[in-house]
Amino acid sequence: MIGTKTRALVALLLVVSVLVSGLLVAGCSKAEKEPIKIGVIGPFTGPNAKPGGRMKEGIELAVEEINAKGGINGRKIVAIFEDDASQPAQSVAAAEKLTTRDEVLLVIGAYNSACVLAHMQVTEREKTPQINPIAVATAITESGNKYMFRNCATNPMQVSQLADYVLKNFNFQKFAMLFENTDYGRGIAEVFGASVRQAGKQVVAEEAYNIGDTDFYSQLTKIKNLGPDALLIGGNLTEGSQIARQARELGLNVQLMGLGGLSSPEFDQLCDGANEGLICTSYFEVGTDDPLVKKFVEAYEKKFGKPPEMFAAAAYEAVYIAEEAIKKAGEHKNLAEWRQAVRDALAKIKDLPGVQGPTTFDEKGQADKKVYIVQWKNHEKVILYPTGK
Amino acid sequence: MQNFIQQVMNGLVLGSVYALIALGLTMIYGVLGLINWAHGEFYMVGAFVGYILAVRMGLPYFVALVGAMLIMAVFGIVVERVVFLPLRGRPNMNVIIGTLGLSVFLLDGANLTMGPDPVRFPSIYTDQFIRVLGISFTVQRLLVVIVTLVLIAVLRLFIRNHKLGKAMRACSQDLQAASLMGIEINHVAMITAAIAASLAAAAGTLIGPIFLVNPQMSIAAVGKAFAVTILGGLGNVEGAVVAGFTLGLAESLTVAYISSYLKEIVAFAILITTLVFKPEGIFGKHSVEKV
Amino acid sequence: MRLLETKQLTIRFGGLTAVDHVDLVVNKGEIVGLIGPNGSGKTTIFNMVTGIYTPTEGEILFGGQPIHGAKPHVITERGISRTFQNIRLFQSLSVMENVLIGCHCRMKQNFFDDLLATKKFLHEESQARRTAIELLDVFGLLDLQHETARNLPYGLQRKLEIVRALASKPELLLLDEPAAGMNPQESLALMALIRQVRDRGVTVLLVEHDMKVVMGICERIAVLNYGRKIAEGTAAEIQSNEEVIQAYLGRQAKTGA
Repeated sequence: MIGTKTRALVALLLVVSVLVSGLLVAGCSKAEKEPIKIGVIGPFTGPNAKPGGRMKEGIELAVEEINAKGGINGRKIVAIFEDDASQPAQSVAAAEKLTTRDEVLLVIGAYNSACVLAHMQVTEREKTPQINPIAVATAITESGNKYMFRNCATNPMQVSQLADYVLKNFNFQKFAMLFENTDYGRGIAEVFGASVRQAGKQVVAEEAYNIGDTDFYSQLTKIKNLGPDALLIGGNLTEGSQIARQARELGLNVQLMGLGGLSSPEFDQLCDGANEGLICTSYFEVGTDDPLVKKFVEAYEKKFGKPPEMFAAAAYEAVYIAEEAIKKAGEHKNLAEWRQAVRDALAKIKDLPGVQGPTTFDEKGQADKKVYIVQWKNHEKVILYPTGK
Repeated sequence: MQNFIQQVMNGLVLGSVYALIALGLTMIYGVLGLINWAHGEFYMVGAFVGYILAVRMGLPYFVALVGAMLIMAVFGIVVERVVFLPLRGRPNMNVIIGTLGLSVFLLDGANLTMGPDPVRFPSIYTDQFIRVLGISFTVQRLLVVIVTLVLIAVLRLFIRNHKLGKAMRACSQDLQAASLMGIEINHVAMITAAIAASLAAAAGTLIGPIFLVNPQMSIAAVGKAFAVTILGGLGNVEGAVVAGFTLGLAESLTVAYISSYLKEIVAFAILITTLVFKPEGIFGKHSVEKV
Repeated sequence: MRLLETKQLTIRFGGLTAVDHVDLVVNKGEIVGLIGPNGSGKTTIFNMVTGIYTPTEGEILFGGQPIHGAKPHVITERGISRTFQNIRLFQSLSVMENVLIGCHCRMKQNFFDDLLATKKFLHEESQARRTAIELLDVFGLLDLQHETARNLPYGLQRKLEIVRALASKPELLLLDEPAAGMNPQESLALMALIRQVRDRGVTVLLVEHDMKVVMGICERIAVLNYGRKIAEGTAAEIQSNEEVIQAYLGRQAKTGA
């Protein structure tokens, strides 16, 4: 009988040990916490698939780096990418999915201002904080949306920075402006013209063109006759490069100025040297001594085999801003409380270093960002501002 | 005065391109009786052919120009056989859908093979400048105007005096009667499409070095070409030339003396005024009865 | 000798039989009239003979060879030419150019000869011009050769259309209501013109409503009614045919002739 007793005991021990080990396993998985979900909206197909792809790469790199050093508060992060194909309607659907079905903690995106303006109402309704790294429409941070933060300079910001720089460093008296006949172009002309007039200088020409125009001789001839010292090109690179070339052909030898798009290598290539001496703003430059930028450029080149550009940098920086806010917000059981805590933490971010310079959000959620001011010299960009970097 | 001369020169360059593109459009309408919605794409494809010959293959510019015109002439014949012929005599809706389909096909084809980004098409004449009396332009721009005028003169001689040219005029007035007079309609249709496509290629190859070449160039071009064609009277060759230069000069002088905001508005205001007061176009003397 | 012959010629448009088993013969050198009330199928027969329509049934023989279903320009080359009920000149071309286009199909060089203006081309081109001048001269239009067609008076436009048709050197000329819209004097001139054409060796098949013209010049007349041939014969025979009088002439005889 002892035999049977012993056997029963052994069986009991076995059952207990199985149960205990089961519990232990369960306990271990509890110790490994669930990852934090970050939603990303961007144009990964469609007309802006190219910059959308760069944006995605910047985010992937930042997520990988953060997870490699242990994640945030002991949790890994995952990025859930939703394509909006630059379509506002599709971006609204993407925001709905991310905030309600995937229950992400925070949203990063998107690329097109029209998309952000459309879907920001969804993130606001769901009280989900959103970091917008790329879309520049002023209205995005002017609408009183408490959950919207932007870590890039808006158009008026970069235009007035350019105007201030040029007015301070050159003794130009007469300015001409040639800009695309859109909200974007007219906005540029308005802000730049205001700065010029405020400084007591003259705007001698304000000429417009339409997107897709190819011939600017008429406008440039008129401008040439008015004898300006400098010409602001308020448009994108396709038209901008032709304006630069045609200005050179007409012998309009004045200081050319432009905005973000004219700092791209494609612009340089299309200009065929006509951009020599052109001064423009730039969101991101790889050739600085900033250690943070150097580290980013190196890691990006290693992972993707090419140098990063502005969209990758902006999106990369957005993930690090999110990391900081999530870290500060701490742990919350309830998703709504957690989202609120992250929003509040974002609002308090001050002088957070990043690859686009330090970030401090104002009460509207707009970061006080400075852009680079660069000058094309022999197909290379020389950084004029910030100096000493 | 300098300013005026410079602006007239600018207008002539624009007008040359408008005229070359509109000529093909108006000829295809006149002879084949169909509105070719893919004509802007003919111009774009022609520019790319010129670009490939001159830049990628390194042929001298004029060889590339003539080459592009010949290649596009063959292209025009193929399109006539494959697309226009089945549409001949069909209801308007079929023609619109058929040629719009061709337009989408060519645009997407160019996007796929050449990519959507603009490319530069430098010629040796883009960097040579002419500066006289305070006006300034590149040799390439002068070339655009001269070659256009030469092509127009040759075309005019051909249509006026050549047997095939006369046949084209006969066809444009009464296709069936022409056929009954022993004219081989198919030959006339093919040569018309060939001339139209090769003029579009000339426009593309002439203008490519001044501007940029990309698939989207077709879209801006076709709107103006339609305006010019209607202004000159549908099917009217002389009208297309005069209307092309009129529009080019009007745009240029509007920018110079009124406002660049009004450039497009003036162009289309001329068009609408013409349509209201002379619906057959400035030079349309009679409405051509279509078969 | 039979120049044109239709055998059981029939065409249907949907359910409508426009021409119903018509046998018709035109002999070389004749002037034949084809008459019948409106809608009886006369112009439809012209359109089949010239290749605009393809017959549903039956044959068309020209010089003993079948031509039904051939393209219009091929039939023109074979030697059939026509004018139209409503004048269809190339209105904005000159008188000379209209006639030169008629000469086209007699010029046999190939496409590249044309395009490159070879010697052969230039030779044929000058020959065509000579033909055109000769024709314009014979029919009294030479003085007007540089005039734009649309500027000619009505009667001369009719004449020019006939001259243009003759320029392709046809053996058979189809005239579709040449007297339409003409006053009695012009009609008389037209009859003289048609005889002049026949005297040049061209056979004429004529559709006409003006009975004076038809009876005055046609050697034989065929009568159509509702797509079927109801009578054939000389003017006198037709005028006395009961069925014809019933169908057609009756009305006409009372009011017109």
